[in-house]
Amino acid sequence: MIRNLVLLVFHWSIVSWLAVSPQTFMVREENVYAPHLYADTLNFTATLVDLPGANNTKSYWELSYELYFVPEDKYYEALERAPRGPSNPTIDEFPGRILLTKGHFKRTGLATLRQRSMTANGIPFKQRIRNAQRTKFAHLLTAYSLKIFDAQLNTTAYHSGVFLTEPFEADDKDQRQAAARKTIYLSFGINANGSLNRSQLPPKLPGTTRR
Amino acid sequence: MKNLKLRLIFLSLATVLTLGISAAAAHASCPYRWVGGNAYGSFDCTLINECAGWCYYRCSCGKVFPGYTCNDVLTEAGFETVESPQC
Repeated sequence: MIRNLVLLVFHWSIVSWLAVSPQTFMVREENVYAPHLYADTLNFTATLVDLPGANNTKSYWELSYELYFVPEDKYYEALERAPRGPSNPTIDEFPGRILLTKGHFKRTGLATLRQRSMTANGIPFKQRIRNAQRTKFAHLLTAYSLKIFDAQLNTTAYHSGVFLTEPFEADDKDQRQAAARKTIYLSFGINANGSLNRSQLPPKLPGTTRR
Repeated sequence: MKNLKLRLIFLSLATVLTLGISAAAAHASCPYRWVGGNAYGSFDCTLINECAGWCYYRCSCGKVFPGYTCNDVLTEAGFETVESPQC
């Protein structure tokens, strides 16, 4: 009984910081064949949006990334094995994944946003996926490891993890409709206290509204 | 009676420790995935954004019981609905 109470308190204390927006939740439709939701090619954009020590030439950013496709059946088989509650999955939990692209870089000279961005365009996607596997709730998985040294703060951030998303996104013209996802984003930021922000949303660049 | 007191002390200590550790963990790093289920259905949430101590997720629900919505499943699980990430 004590164990259950502790677990309940633990669960409550974590979930108080969780949020979803209406545009980002949906009921899964199983094995819906949806080739129109698969882009012919994908673009991959990684951005280091905020870096207090951007103007310091000793600051650097090192990133390794791999982009995979995980077929729907393999994804949900993995999900059955996944622990209930919060977890940080690794790529090894997704057998049957297909590597779409990978890369690695280390950069110095990070003064401008352009210098803190990298893009890989034209990554073959649809043709890499067997026709029968082009279903709506398959997943794209981005695995990454990063190291960011901020010379102004004199701190180094290390992190590795995986972002998961579906091959589709909300249509720009009608948020209730799905459209093929064309770009995979990986965005990071270093806060003034040295902590790291992570996101798979398009980066909110200076000049855009933010709070 | 002594056993009950010990249990209460243990529970208090465990609660304080758990609150402290989990609060620090939640602020330090959001989990990439959150899987679960409740009386209304099951859910699979994946992290889309972490900023300002908040963890923002994209979620899909499965096996939602008739008469309920994915929103019911996620609200029951403790997720707060927001229009969009605030940062």
